[in-house]
Parts: sequence; structure tokens; C-alpha cells
Amino acid sequence: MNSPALALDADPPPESLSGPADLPRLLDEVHRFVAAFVRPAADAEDATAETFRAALGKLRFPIPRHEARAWLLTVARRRIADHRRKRRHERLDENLAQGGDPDLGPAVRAVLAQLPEDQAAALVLKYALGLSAEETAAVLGKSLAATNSLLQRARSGFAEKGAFLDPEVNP
Amino acid sequence: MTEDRLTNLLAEAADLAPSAALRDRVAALRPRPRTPWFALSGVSATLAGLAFLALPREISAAELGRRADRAIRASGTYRIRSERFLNGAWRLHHQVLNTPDGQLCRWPDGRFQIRKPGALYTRFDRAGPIRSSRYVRIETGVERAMDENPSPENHRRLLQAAQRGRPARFVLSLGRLLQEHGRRLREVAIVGPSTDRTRTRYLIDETTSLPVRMEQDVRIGDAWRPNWRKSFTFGEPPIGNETFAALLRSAPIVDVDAERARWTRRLAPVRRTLRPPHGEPLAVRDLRTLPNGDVVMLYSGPQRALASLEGAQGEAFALRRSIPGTGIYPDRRHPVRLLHFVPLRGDAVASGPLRLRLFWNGRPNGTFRIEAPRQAAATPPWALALDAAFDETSRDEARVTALADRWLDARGGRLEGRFGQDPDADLRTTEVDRLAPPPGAVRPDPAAANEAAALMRRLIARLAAQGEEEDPEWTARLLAKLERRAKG
Repeated sequence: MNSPALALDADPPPESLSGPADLPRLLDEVHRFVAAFVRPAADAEDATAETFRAALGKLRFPIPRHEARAWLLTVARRRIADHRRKRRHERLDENLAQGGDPDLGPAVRAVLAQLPEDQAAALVLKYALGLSAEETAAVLGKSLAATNSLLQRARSGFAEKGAFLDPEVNP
Repeated sequence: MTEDRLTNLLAEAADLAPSAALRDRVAALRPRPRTPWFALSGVSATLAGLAFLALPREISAAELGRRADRAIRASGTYRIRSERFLNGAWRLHHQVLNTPDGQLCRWPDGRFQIRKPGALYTRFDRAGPIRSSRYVRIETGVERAMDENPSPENHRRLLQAAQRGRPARFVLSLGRLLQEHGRRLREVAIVGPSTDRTRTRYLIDETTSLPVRMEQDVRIGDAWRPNWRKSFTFGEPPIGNETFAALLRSAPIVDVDAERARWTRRLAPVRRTLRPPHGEPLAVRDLRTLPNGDVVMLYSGPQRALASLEGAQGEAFALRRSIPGTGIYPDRRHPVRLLHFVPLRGDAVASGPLRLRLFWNGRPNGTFRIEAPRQAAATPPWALALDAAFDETSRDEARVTALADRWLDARGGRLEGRFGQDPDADLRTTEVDRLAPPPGAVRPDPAAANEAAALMRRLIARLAAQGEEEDPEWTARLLAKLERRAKG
């Protein structure tokens, strides 16, 4: 016989998506992830829309929300990788990297662009989207230990290349 | 850099909110309809069924190739008496079947050949002596497979074949009398005009009257040098019919005997011989209207002669290729063709005549008019008419064969009326135009050709008579006369 205390302690049932019409609920997260790497904004929107189009043919509903998000972010990561390959030849704007622009967004994206792809993705997933380490590992397709190690290297790399963004180092 | 600072900075990078347009775009996405499982299952089942139907044929054909290969290894040659062969591997037309060590071929005239590296073995499936041959290239000393035309079984037919249709081209002359392995061999040379660089010599066994060897010489300066040689063997033991039985009962079988009998029956009557201004005549074998109003004509003629059946209110479908099933008909020089005329207006009885246009080498060669009342068609058979168009694929060959079967076995009415060209004929033909010969066309001199042919026939008759001695003077006179004629 279940006591009320035990019922209160139980985890709430995971939120689920019942059909394709529920997919836009994940639009914000996916688009923010894509927009951290893909600019201009029109390209980011195209990549996001393509990600959702692919999901429509592949996902089987109903599906837990976190699984759908992980799936979408994984597909989005491939789109981002394609975008980075196309833009590899473009040189970084030196002035932007010097932190002269009062808007931090482009400067941060410039620093992310200098990091290896998986490190940059791990940083955005963990700190910009607020995913847990386990969820980040699921999106990246790595183990939890490997993801923690990757995050550690990513933080170091970001601190090194983005030192000019830290007011404690550059008051 | 603290984690809070890192969170703030990265949030700056990912601060772009989706636009309203993007929201609408994503919301408007609809999943593509999935292929239903039963459709996939149906396609899979169909493919599996087709494979299942084709497997017996393929397996049996492969087994046939293996058996034939074993047989030829055992005896050095083989002989076939069976007339039942695997469809696909042994169709009515010639087919090539790859075996582990070579190729096995069957030709419409009954030849069976096995090509192996360095050799070509030939068997004839017909009454009379059975000949097999091996080809040797003397120049290189290496045996090599080579294509070969059907050859007659004895030297009389052989010599007739040499002069057939080309009386001024080749000249026969008797050569040496040789002794070889206790046999008396008579040498017969076939030489062309003096400009020809090659000559062919046959060594004929005087006892059996069969060729033992054929050699070709090449003229180098004033001397003849041997070029290649074919040796013939006869009367080797046959291979049993069981070798050529289908391994699997479900393999499709073509009864060549029955097909040959059917086409021989169809092609036996010659209802009318059409003589165009140029070239050889055409033989009208069958001409009838079908119950649906179509007009169908079966004819045979030389390779270069074609015909089309046309009318004021109809569509002509000239089936310009030979009907595949007629490949077994013995007269290979005159393929059988089928014409199909479809009336355009099914509810009208066309009163105008049909025109039969003839072509020679692709050029117009006269037009004949067929006065024939045609029946009204209840329904224009468009589908059938469209089916009649075909090209080179074997699938279309099979379709034309099926159409021919349907047409020729239908209870169609014979065309009534007459060909006006010959009042005594059952059908009346009116020649409406006679075109000038194409530019550059050379009219053969019938008198000269007939004279040369008569001379050749005399020579052949003398050679064919057993025990006749050579008459060098007579041969020399003939040679000189024909060479003069060949030079013009």
C-alpha cells in the first residue's frame, strides 16, 4: 500500500511529446544552440528548420521530451558541423577577437569558433542551454566521464582564448 | 573564469530567439506520409515471386552448360538429337550460354558450337553426315575460336554454296589428288578474280565425298602462303538426350519441333508473288482481315526488302524486323515479316484501296494497290496497335511473336478481291507507280548472270559425278571466261 509520503517523493512523470504538433515546443532550445554557431540569423533559421524537417520523418511519437530534444540537438550539431566546414576558410575578425566590440555575443561566438567542435558544443549545451552532464553526453554521443573530461578541457580552452572577456583578468 | 561568468558569456552567444517566421515555418511542417507496410510487403513479395519464377530457368541453364561442357570434354565433340531446349538459354533464336571453359551456342540453322580458348567445335543437328570442325591459325600456330558460317555436308552442296548468287565472283578448279592416312583426297580450289589475295582449298575424301579439311592461302607476290586451316570430322557418337533435359521441371521449355512445324504450316502457301521494279520478289504468305477490322499481311522477302501497308483511313504498322519465331524457318535469306494495318475510324467501312509500299535498301521500290473490302471494326484496337510498335529488346520480340500468334491463328476473313496486275491471281494488285532506280544502282545483266550460273552448274555436275577425271583445259577455259566477265 503506497503512503502519501512515498507518492510525494516519487519523480514526476517525464514530459512527453504526443505528436509532430508538439515539436515546436523545442524550437527555442534548438534555435539557441544553432544560433550560437551559425550566423547570419537567416542561416541559423534555415538550419533549425531543416533539423525539424528531418525530425518529422524520423521520430516516432509519443516520445519523452528529453529524448526528442537530445535527438534534435544531435541533428542540429551535424548541421553546425557542416556550417563550420563551409566557413573554415573565413578568417576570424581580429578586431572582434580583441574585445573591442561592446556587444559580447559576436566576441563569444568568435572564441567558440576557435575551439574544437565538440568542446564548443559541450560548452553551449551545458552552460547556455542548461543541460545536465548526462544530457550533454547523450547529445554528444559520449560517455559521462568523457563528457566531463571534455567539458574540463573546453573550459580551459575558452578561458585561455577568451581571457579578454574575463573582467577579472582584463578589468 | 568562473562557471557563472561562463554561463553568462555563453548565454550571450546563444541569445538569438527564433523569429516569428521561423516559428510559423516549423509549425507548418508536416510529416511525409509513410509508405505503408503492406505496400513494401507487396513489392518484396513481387520481387521474390519474379526471382522464384526465374530461378528454375537460370539453374537449369547453368546445369545445361555444365553438362554440355562435360560431354565435350569426354568426346571431343558432341551431337544433339533432342529438339527440346530451355527457354531463355535456348530460345528459337541463337543464344550463347557461358560455360566454365567457354561458350555454348545454338544457331537457328541447327548448328551447335562450343567455343573454347583456341578451338571452335561445331555440330550440325540435321539429317545426313554430322560434321565438327577445328580451326587452326597457321600463321601464329595457335588454335583460336572463330565464327563460322553454316557449311554443307558434302562437297557438292559446298560447291553449290560457293557459286550461289555470285556466279562471276568465284571460280572452282580441281587441284592435286592426295593420299593421306590411306584415304584418297581430292583438292578443290575456290579462287576469286585475279585481284583477290586469297583462295580457299577443300580436301575432299573421294570415298565418302565429304570434306576433310579446308585451307585458305594468301597470295604473297607470286606465291600462295597458307593462312589458316579447318579440319573436319564426321560420324562421332552422339550425346544422349538426357544431357539436354531440363534439370528442373518448372523451367520453361520451347518445343522447337512444334514451333518449326507450326511456322512451316503457316509459311507453306504463297498466295501471291509481288515483283517490284528492283530486287527480288516478295512472297505474300497470308493476307486477311481480322474480326476487329485490322488487316494483317504475312510476307517473306530478302533482307533488304521491306514493305508497309497503308490506307487513307488507317494507321500503318510495318513490323520491320523478322518475327523471332520464324528463325527456325529454313529459308534464312528471306526473313518473314508481318504487316499490321489499323483502321482509324472503326465505325466506317473503308472503301478505298490499301496501298502496299515496297522498299529496297531503304528506298521506295514501287507501290501496289490491294483492292479489298474491309470489315467494319467494332472498336478501334488502339491498345493492340500501340503494342505492335517494338524495338530491339527481347521482351518486344516476345510481344511481337505473341501478336503474330494471335493474328495468324485468328478466324479472320480472307481478303476478297483480286490483284489487278495478274488477272489469274486470286487477289488483284495494281502497280500505281514505278520509280526510277536509285542513283548509282547497277542493273545486273540477267543474260550474263544466267550464263555464268549455267557454266557453274555444269562444272558442279561434273565434279559431283563419282570417278570423273579432271579436265584442266575445260577448267582453264571457264576460269578465263569468268575472270574476263568479272573484270567488266
